[in-house]
Amino acid sequence: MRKTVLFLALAAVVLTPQLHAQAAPAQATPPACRSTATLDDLVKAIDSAVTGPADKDRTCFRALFLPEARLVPLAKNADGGFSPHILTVDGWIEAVHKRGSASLMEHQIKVGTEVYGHLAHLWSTYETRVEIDGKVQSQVKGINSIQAANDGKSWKIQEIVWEAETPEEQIPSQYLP
Amino acid sequence: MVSAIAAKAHPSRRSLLFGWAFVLSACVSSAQTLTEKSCRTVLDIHQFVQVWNDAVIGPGNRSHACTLQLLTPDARITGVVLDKDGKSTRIAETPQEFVGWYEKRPNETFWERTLHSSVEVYDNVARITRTYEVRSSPTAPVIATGIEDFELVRERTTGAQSEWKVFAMLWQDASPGHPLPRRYLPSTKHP
Repeated sequence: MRKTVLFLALAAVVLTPQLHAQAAPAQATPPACRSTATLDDLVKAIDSAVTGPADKDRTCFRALFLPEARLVPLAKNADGGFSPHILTVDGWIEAVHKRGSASLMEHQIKVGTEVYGHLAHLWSTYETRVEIDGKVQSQVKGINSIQAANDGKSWKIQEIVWEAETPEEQIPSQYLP
Repeated sequence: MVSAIAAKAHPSRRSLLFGWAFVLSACVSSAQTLTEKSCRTVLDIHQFVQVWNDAVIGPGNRSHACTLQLLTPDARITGVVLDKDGKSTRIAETPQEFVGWYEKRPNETFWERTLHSSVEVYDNVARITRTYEVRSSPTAPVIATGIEDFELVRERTTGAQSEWKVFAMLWQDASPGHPLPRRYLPSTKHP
């Protein structure tokens, strides 16, 4: 999903912690969260909950996930291979929050859905953009592979694994609009 | 049955097998000798369903090395079970808990086949959705059907080789209130 965003956030934590002292305070009143009654709703809610200032209130983001949820970027290791790096919801929020007032945008541009009973899988091509002071810092596509479960009222994310597109490995045309 | 399932953290699909515990364990005894070295690895994602299916077949007390080898160490297997009112409960297991459930049933035989599957893959991440059918033997009556949804990642293992492994699996049995949709069934009847 937000691999680039996350990596930028983590790099910033390690390399330039002093820059984050000026991060804007969180909003006092959290916005009303979108419904996730349907899987279409869930897709829209993901975009809405991620998009905005990096340090925005994440009440709605938290509401998308089951308590045991894992957020898992696939990241390149020193040996050139890829491994899952497991984050909790709070871990992701904390990492992204350190981006301060940077503006994040995420949009699911094509979503394939498998659904049966109380379980579902969304195979979604995403597009993310990070802006600072109105200037685009990064813009990338990738694949979000999302497992979701329905508790009888709404859909919640159980696992989300993502991998960003690279010049060597372009997103296949069937996953693009 | 469902309340007992929840209390024991036992997925319903496998609980259904209790009544079929007495047959054919001798027929699959060779599976007990499996070791990690004889397990098949998944280098091509399209091989996964068959390898997984083969790994879960056999008596409860066989070696489960091949199943474990298909799971990442931090994999999570989550079953969705319904109570009599249709309310769902999720039961999550580690790889060790997943195979441990089978090991506690040494006299039971587990046989499955895949009725339908679909794959999406991009570089090192993949999704597979599989329709399973459970019997106690290839010719025994069907005990359960349902859906397994796999989240897979491709990890570099030894040398430059990369293997596909399950990072998360979510499953639910079919039930009268949730029959399998036509799209998850084979287009022609299996022999």
